[in-house]
Amino acid sequence: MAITATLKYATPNRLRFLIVASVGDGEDVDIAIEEYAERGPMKQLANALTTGYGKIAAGAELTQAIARALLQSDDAEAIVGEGVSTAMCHITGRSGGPLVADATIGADGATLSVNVAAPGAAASGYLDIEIPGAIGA
Amino acid sequence: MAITVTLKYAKANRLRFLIDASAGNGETSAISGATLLAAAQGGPIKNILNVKTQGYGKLAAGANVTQAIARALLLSDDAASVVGEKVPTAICRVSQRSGTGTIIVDADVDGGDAAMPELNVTAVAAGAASAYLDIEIPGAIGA
Repeated sequence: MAITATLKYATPNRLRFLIVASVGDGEDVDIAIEEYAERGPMKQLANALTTGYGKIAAGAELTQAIARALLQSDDAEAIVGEGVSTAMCHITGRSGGPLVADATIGADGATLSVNVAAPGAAASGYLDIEIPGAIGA
Repeated sequence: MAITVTLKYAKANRLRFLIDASAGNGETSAISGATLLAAAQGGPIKNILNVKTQGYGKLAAGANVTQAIARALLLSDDAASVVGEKVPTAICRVSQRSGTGTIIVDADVDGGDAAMPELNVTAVAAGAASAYLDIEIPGAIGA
């Protein structure tokens, strides 16, 4: 009765997690980016709210729109700025039912996170959080 | 009871659309070649879409686009034999964001004049769903 997210691969531009949902039926997990980003563009992005990033000022309030711009490149140019690296999330199923991923602000309302849910049956899959076009693997 | 497609990110090698299906059950939408061309910032994606007017790889200018060609250009399906070896072609990836439905994508010919490739997105299962569709040229320099 649990969903887990286990880091399997980490570089400055890419994090890959194995998601395992033992039941499904809506179980979900938040992945706080700052816990896993160690350096490079991913680390800068994870620190966006504390150090500032593109148009986002240090100390700005984290909203889902900002989280989506940073982690899904959703309206990134308008919110983060032109030419500023932003991430995209990709889910690749490995077994079982579907998995969905979205950027969110975490349970505490202030932590840049990716939320992964299993809306149907038990499932496993890989979540890639990647910064396209950045130098390095 | 509609499926919408909204451009969210555009660079020379990558387009990202948000697909939002309100009901599923087979609702579908085409992303026309003209829409893709308008979104493309230049580079390989633009060249791919202009295949009939200016040719691309093995494909001569003026030749009609078929579904096999559309799939080779936009899904890299048999790209080496259809388009040519070492010629950049795109792949499409769908990453679901919410809902219980399933969103799929395929490439086809745009309209009756066989002038451009297009993409069709479909929400195949019952239930609302949203997803990001990425059209990207893997390994190309730039975002």
